[in-house]
Amino acid sequence: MFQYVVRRTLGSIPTLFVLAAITFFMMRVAPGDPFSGNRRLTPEVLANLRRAFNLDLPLWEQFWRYIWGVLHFDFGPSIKNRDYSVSELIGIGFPTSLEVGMWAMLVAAIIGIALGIAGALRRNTSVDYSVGAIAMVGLAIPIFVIGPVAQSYFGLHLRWLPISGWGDSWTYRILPVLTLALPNIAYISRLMRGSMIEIMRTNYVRTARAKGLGERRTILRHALKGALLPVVAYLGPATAITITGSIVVEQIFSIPGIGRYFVDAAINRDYPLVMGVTLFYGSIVIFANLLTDIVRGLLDPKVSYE
Amino acid sequence: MMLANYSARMTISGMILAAIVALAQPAAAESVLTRGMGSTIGTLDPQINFLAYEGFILDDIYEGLVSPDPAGEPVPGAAETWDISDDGLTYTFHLRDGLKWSNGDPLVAQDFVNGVIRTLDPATASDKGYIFTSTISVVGAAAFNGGESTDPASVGVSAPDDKTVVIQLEKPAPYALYILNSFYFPPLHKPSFEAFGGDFIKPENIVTNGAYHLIENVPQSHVTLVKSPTYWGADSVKIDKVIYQITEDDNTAVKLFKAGEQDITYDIPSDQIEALTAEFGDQVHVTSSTETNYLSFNITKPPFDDIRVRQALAMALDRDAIINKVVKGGYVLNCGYVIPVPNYPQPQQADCAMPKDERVAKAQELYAEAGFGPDNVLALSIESSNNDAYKKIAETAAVMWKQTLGVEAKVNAQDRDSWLAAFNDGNWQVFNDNLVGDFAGPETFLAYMDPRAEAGYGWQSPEYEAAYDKAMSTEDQAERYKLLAEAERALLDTYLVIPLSSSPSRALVNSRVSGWVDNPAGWHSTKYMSVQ
Amino acid sequence: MSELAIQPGTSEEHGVQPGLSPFRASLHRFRKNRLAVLSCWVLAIIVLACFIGPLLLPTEADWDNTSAPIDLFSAHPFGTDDLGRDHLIRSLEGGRVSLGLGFFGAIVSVLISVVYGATAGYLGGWVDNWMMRAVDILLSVPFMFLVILINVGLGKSNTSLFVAVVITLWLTPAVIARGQAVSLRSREFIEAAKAGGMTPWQIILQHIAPNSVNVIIVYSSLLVLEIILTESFLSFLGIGVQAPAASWGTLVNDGAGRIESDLRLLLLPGSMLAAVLFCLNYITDGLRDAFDPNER
Repeated sequence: MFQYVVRRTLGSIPTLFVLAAITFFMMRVAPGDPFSGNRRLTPEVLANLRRAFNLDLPLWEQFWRYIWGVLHFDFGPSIKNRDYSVSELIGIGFPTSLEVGMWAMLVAAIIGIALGIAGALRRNTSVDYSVGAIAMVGLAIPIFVIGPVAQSYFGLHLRWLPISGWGDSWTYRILPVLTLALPNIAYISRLMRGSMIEIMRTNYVRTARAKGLGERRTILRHALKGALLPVVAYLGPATAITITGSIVVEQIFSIPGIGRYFVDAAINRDYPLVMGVTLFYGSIVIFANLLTDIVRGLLDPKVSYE
Repeated sequence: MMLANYSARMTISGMILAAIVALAQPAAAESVLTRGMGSTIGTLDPQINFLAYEGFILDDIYEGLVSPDPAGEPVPGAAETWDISDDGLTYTFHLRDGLKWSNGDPLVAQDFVNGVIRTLDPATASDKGYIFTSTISVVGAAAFNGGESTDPASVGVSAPDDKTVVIQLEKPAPYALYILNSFYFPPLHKPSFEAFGGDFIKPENIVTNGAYHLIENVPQSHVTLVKSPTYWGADSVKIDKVIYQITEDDNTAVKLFKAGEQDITYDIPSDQIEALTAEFGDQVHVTSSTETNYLSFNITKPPFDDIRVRQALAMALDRDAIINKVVKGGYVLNCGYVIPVPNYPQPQQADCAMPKDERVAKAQELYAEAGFGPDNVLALSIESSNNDAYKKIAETAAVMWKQTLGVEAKVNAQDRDSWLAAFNDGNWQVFNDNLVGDFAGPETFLAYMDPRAEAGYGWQSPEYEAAYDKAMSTEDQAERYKLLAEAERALLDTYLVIPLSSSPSRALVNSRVSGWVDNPAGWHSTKYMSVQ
Repeated sequence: MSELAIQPGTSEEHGVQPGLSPFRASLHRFRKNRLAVLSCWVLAIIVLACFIGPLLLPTEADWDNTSAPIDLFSAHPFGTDDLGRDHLIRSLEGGRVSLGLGFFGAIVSVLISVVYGATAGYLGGWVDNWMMRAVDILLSVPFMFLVILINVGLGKSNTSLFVAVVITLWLTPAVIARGQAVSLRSREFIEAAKAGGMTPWQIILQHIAPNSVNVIIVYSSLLVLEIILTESFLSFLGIGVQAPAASWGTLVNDGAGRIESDLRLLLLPGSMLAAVLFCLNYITDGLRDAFDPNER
């Protein structure tokens, strides 16, 4: 298994390289440049600006320079956030996004899996229907509606929790975490219910039951492990997406995470920041996928680490 | 790795900061003001930062030769007095006695010269150079900025002695005093810049000369300033600490205001103005800004090269309905290009005051004359930014054109940079356009539309140029305004643009704050305010 | 689990009730699910209303009647928006765009993802490795950048909107489908099919993909919703539906910005969207129960 991890990690380097190349050239084909936001720049000044950020060099040379920098852990300056380098921006914002995202996924996984199991075991009963309804409500109401409503009610009306911001107190965490968890609860409970029903029908679970194992033991020892597989497959990428920040939640609750940069960087054509967040995001996704595969291997002995 | 390294540095600088804060805090209850900020801070570098909201913070931590008073009018800042030569080309400023930087260094005239030189230096790659090369044309600025001259002495800003700054202009700019404030003309503390390079504006390194000093700048979260004891006017500065909270969501800001957690908001959502006015009365501030909105036609592309088409489209719009029934939110109907300015005899586009039926009939007639009708439908695309009010303006125009003329109009609402890139590409038909003036006067708007300024409209007008040139060499304001109005008239008559409105500047200001005065330039220095 | 006696697979998995073809038996089972049948009716009514309603009613803007409130006995029962357009008709028109895009997009995404995931998972080895690496790369490109590229490549149109939606949404189900295929690969009925001389491609299309659909179909009803919401985000960025046209996504998005002043703008398109979602959910459940080969 150690070998497997090492092999996968080494294997991710070319992936990241391809990712860097695709993103780099993609962004340059897109119209607009970092300086189109100011309409009064003379051609000379524009040329100065381009030179200052090496944008006047041939594209290939810019690319190699960038890769060279990355190999030395230098991700360059941000063009639009000139007070900070790309590494600094990610270094300051990521811990916050990670905190919100991890809690949200944890809450979502626990509640979602529990609801999914309840729905599957009490299939087509009122329990099942209410679980389905809860899930649907979580999905049907977008977070840009839930967030502001929660703010108004718990923050402004009841005054139980802070409206927005990111203070030291844990009270600042509750609303954003729950808001972010809600749609994930819905997804996870739906997936869990589906795969649990599926697994309860498989021969080995039937056999286990037929052999007289208790309902509880059957579920815990045999069914749960198998049923978690699709959920784990979902959790991997979903966690990667969630811990790198949600622009909507961060904007509504004024949370200084990195979610904002994914949209702003592209919109502002802040090339170094685009590259930085892409490579960062890519590494996290690759890491999450590796983790997913390892966990899947633990859950399902039929999956081998080739 | 870099990240780990960085966090260690952060902790140490955090401790130093904590110590500074502890020292800076007076024993008595300190008065704290919280102000909203609509976007995260791009840069606080005084010679680079270009966005108006960043200018609010700059205005607190730096001081230019002049400084905007509570109503935005220029009053003495670092300079106590000044003389202007009779030809309007030479400005001589005399600095106050005993001016100091926040670290105790004396502030001298050369620091202001260094500021301008750094703004213009091609290596700085500043967005603001145009201020000195075009808004006011400082001698030698364009050549230095463009790299043709590398000698700083060739720029017409000099310091004959420690207390005198002399600025020489190529042509008169009677509004120059509006430009020489901290946003465009901040001094540079060269020793710290030389020591830290671009990092000289980091809280642990920064040296300032304004009423406040920067102690904290957390991206996307907040910026904290404390009162600077070295400021010459420190005795009259009442607020000890200002926290600029970054609240990108306007609705969140309103909630913070209601909860008393934000004293001054950055904006007010259009749809809530009525309800908030009912609830908070005069704490709701809506006033005009220096932003003008208009639709532009690409006259280099058929059929918009035909004035009848442009005129028909202009006349088909019920501008009153667009602004007063649909957009609302404090936007003010404006049928001229320049924003409403006191004493400026603003020309209006002719059809704006026509009765509705007559206007529509004329529009249909011109549309038919230009060869369009049910058999030959005009299809066009309006390029717009995705700002709410703008999207609404574009959508309403599209619907009205469809209703009155049968034009098939689509709105292409994009992010700001793509929208402006579309303009620069020249591949647009109708542009949902805007311009934010550098100050509240007609000069800044008409300088931009000058055909020779090549803003990208590709239009020609000798009348405009003649009237504009004459105005620029006229010292007397009334006479100058009359000439500028002539230039604007030439612009409006070509129907290159359909002026629609001027944008509001909006804020909720808690009643515990005094010293807030509404003004179109949008200057609200914290040093003039106090809290109960 | 090795202790379990496992019975041979395929032959047993497709049991047939005497007297009815499998399809009709399934249909019969589906009809007995009252919730699912009711959902079908509601969905049908909404779809019909969206596609026919705007044709029958006037769509002209009424400038003298902007932002009219709800008045069930007036010409505009649900009021008008700020351009004076009837709110009900706007919502129905928006539904037309959203439903079309949602269903078509979900079907295409699911087809692509199931076939792709099943192929990768079944073949395994270096094919799996490369195919999933391609997915990894695409998944690692933040959403926004993909969208901007498509925008540039195809120009602005409903096609590029559709492509953007499908390209971003087939990836996650593909990962799930592949996971399913990996665990199916070593099942007995696949071994049996292999022994019976089926080519890998036949096995993928006839055994792996259909068996992965069970898991994906749960996900796909959510995909419709996700597409509708993604579209609203894309509209915000300027690649979505272009005004004056509307979609539920744009209407909900606009309405959400005005929660404080005019809840009506959010509620009507929002509840139509929610109703469609609920219906889809129950229909999906019903279909799975009825058509699942394991269900007996």
